[in-house]
Amino acid sequence: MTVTPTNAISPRIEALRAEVMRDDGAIGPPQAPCVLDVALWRAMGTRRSRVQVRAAFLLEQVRLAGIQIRPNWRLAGDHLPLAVAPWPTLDPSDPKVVAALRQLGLSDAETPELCREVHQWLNPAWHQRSPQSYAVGEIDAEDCLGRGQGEDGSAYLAIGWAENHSIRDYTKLLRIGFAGLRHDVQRRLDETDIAEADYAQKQNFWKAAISVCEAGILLGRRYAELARQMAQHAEDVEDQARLEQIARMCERVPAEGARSFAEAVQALWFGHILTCGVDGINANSLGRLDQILYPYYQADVAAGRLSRQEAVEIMEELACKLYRHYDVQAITLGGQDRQGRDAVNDLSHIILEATRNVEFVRDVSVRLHHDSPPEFVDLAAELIARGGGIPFLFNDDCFIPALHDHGIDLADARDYAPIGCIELTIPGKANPHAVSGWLNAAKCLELSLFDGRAPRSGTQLGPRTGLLTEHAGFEDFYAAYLRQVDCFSRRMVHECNRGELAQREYGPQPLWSVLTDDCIARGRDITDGGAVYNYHSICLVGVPNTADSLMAVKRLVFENRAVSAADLLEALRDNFDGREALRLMLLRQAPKYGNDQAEVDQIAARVCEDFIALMDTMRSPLGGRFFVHLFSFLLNLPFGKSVGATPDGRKAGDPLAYSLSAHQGRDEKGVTAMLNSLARMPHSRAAGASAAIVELDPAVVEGPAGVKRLAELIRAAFAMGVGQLQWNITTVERLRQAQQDPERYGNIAVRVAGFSQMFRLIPKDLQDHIIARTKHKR
Amino acid sequence: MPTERSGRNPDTIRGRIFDIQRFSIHDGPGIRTTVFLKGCPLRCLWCHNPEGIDPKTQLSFLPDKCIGCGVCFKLCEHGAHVMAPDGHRLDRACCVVCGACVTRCYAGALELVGREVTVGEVLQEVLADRPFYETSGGGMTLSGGEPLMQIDFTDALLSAAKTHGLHCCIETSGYANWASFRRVMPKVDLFLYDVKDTNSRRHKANTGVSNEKILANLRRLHDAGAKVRIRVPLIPLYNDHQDNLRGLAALADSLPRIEGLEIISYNQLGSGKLGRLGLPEVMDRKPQPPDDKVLSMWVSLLRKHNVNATSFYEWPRSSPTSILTTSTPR
Repeated sequence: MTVTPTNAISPRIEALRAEVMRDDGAIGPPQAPCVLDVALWRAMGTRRSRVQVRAAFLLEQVRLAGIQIRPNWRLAGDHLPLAVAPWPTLDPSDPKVVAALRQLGLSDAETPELCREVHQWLNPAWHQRSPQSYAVGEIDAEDCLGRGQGEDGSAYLAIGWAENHSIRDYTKLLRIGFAGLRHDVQRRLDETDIAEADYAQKQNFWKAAISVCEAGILLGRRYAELARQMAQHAEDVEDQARLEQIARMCERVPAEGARSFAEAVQALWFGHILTCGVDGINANSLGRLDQILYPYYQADVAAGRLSRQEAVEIMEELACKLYRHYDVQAITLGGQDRQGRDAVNDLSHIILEATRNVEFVRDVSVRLHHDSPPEFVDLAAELIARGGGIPFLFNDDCFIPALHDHGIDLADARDYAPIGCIELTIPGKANPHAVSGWLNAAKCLELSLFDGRAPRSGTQLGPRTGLLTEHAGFEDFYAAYLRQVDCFSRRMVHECNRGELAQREYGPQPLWSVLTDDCIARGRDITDGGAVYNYHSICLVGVPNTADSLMAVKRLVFENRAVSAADLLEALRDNFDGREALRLMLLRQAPKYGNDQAEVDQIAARVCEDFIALMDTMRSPLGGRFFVHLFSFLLNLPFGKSVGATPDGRKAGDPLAYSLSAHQGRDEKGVTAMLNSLARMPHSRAAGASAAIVELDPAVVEGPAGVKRLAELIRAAFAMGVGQLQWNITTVERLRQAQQDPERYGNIAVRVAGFSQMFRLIPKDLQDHIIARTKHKR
Repeated sequence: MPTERSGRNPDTIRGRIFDIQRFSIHDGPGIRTTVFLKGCPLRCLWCHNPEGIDPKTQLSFLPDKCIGCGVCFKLCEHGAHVMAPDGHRLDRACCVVCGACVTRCYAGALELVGREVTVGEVLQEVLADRPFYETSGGGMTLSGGEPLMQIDFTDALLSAAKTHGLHCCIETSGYANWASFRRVMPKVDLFLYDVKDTNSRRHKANTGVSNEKILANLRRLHDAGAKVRIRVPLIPLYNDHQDNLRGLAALADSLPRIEGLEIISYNQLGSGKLGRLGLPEVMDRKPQPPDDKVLSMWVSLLRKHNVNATSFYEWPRSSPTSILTTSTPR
């Protein structure tokens, strides 16, 4: 299918687009001050359990939220007041607080109690002590050496607590609605024997689930009522029809199952609002939108109720809705279906077209496989060639086997979708603990040169594995590196596991659970092992620098003896001060990753594979596995800051390479060589996904021939087994201009790290990093 | 001529190249790898790849990159490296291009241009991008210099590429013996054939040779049924004359089976390379790249004589419209 090159959006969408683009915070519905405090206080009021309070809190949020329906919109609903940190403590002596609480129906006598109780609920858990310390006690200092910032840290980071990175079972929500879900829960409450051993525990969760479903039902009802009222006072017939239409839809969804494409989108949007209300926006993603919505689209089109153009417009409106508080809520298109057949449908094209038309969507992923329709690849290439950095491409032929090999049922693996940036999940079936831990391979490499000691501070961070001068050969040295990796990986896993346990106790997610199999059936929250799949995804950062450094040591210290180990260590300690010739030798006389040179690429692959093998041996308290994610996000900058000079010729503090892209400027043999190197990495073992940004000069993708060329590059790279690709199509000159004159040029969107962003909104050091990444011309 | 030995073993036939450029997208259809061979019989004043002219290996020196480490002074047995008051200078009169200094110049100021390689070595690098050729209809292009100057190596490389089923292009000045053309013709899927000027007098003045042999070979290739695409570098002040345009139109008319005609606009990259090779500037008048209007005028006129006339970037099989943009003559 070829698409018209014009950006043909209707005047109505143009108006919505203009509204969200100029959003200064004033277009959202007004929210009463202290509304979240009152919601939480009411939720606590009946002495509920923790999971029940969190569920009831959502219900109160929905009850108390200010809502509105703005002109021109057909899709109703704005974000709820968001319950995200920081949450300031109310001062009961502040007259403004008293007045605000009075406004929300509280008596003055209740005010001090509310302030105190809300403070107590929030603060013990969140402020004075970490939830981890409550759940599992304070961590021992020696167990977390190497975490934190600066030279004595950044060997790893660990979270273990899963929030705002999810894709929920919107398919089920659209099919049966919250009333259907509530019915399912109620039936289980009614039918389970009260004396069953784990009934008390299940009941605790199911009661929370009931509140969540009621919150969903109430949300639709409130918008329906508002729309009805507004319709009575509508200024013209057309607007009255619009409002009545909204009322009819909101009376139906998200309480009941959707009956049309428009209702399905409305239900999905409400589901997203509820998700973000309790869990923040960040990377709470929509998943496989073309698959979720297709049955409704197909039925409408077959019945003559919906035209293709109307569907495009609805998708454009959804894009506008998402944009208002845009973070990285990913949409996924294409790929295989659960039977392994190609899943591309009309909607895959429609959503890409809508994305192109509104020109501000920044998180759309396209899944491709060996049998993807060429015209779909071409359309994706056409969008990429426009230079906004979207869509991002995922290779089913790598990630489906990777997931399946890590215990995901094959049909479920085929249903994967990326969250936020690049993190993989099984929508509606997993607690993915996305970006749960981060290991800095380059820091481990540095420590392995210096006997486990940070060379500048002298702190013994890792095990004593000897100085480089003490190793007999490369394999000996590599073994020392692996021992450092092993040590920090174990500390990282330990902290991830502490996080998982702490969340089980302090951070239940009843809404997420209701929309995740098999939480309802098991009667367990998702943080308590309710999900079918429970795993942690662990990012490995600095692979290219580690490989380049290992290669340089192998070639120049152990093989050619061009530099002695002692001399190298001294130069690294001095950050190559007065040793520029040595630095350049390290840089130029040993192969560098990204140039299709098998030896160094294989070292990079080995670095990845050894880490994957190690993580494959780890398990979390709830039996979760540790999936390796070959992705750096932006941590290549702070992690780089804490690593001294490295044997690849990189100076102390310089950024590390992004994900699996070559270190900035080192891929000198062109894009095909870079892709060949990339293809040598173990993408089909990386169940957490892999990532690489490839920079291309716009001239390369100019015109129809350029788009075709890009599609050819993509097809070849994926056939060779590259897992994930993001493309930046911007000239260095243009970026320099943007840096100097952000007012004028700063609105170019560039690929940052698993997401696109306006160049002017990026901090200077990151801008420099992006400029330094190679441009492949020719 | 560089050392060449007879025999069909790809590991023993050697040639001299100065670059292998992957992801070449302007040297024939699809995504290609272009192998640049050393040595050229022409001396085009505007030469974009002057490092391809001399069949021998040369020393390139970029003073801007020198970090003053002084290692080359010690390594050079011929006293070619001199520290002058204004910095490091290379005395080419003493230099024997032994390459000793290059091995330790980590700053990259000194580089050898040209290396001897076997057919097998080249082929290995060319085959690395095979998946890209397959999706894009690309392959290998031999360029230079003049690839037919190293006919044994070129022929062996083409034969080896053909045994792997690669699509092969040759970019040629046309200035070679017919026997060489006849030898490679069965293995070449497309000739990218330079016609620098249809005016013989100017051709001789600007390239050092007259164009009769070139045009005769072109006609024989055409008549023998080879696929040929004519490439014309458009160099303002040197060959942008109306009589050249008319001559090209007549040429196109007389060669009806020509695949296409590309106008390649001049750029100034070549003159920057002269200094680093120690070669003198040869153009007394400095042309600017032709403007788009002139380019499109030439293309539209030539298109009346050959439907596939385009300026450089656009390959006609993908689209009939041309995108006018500057490019790289050789």
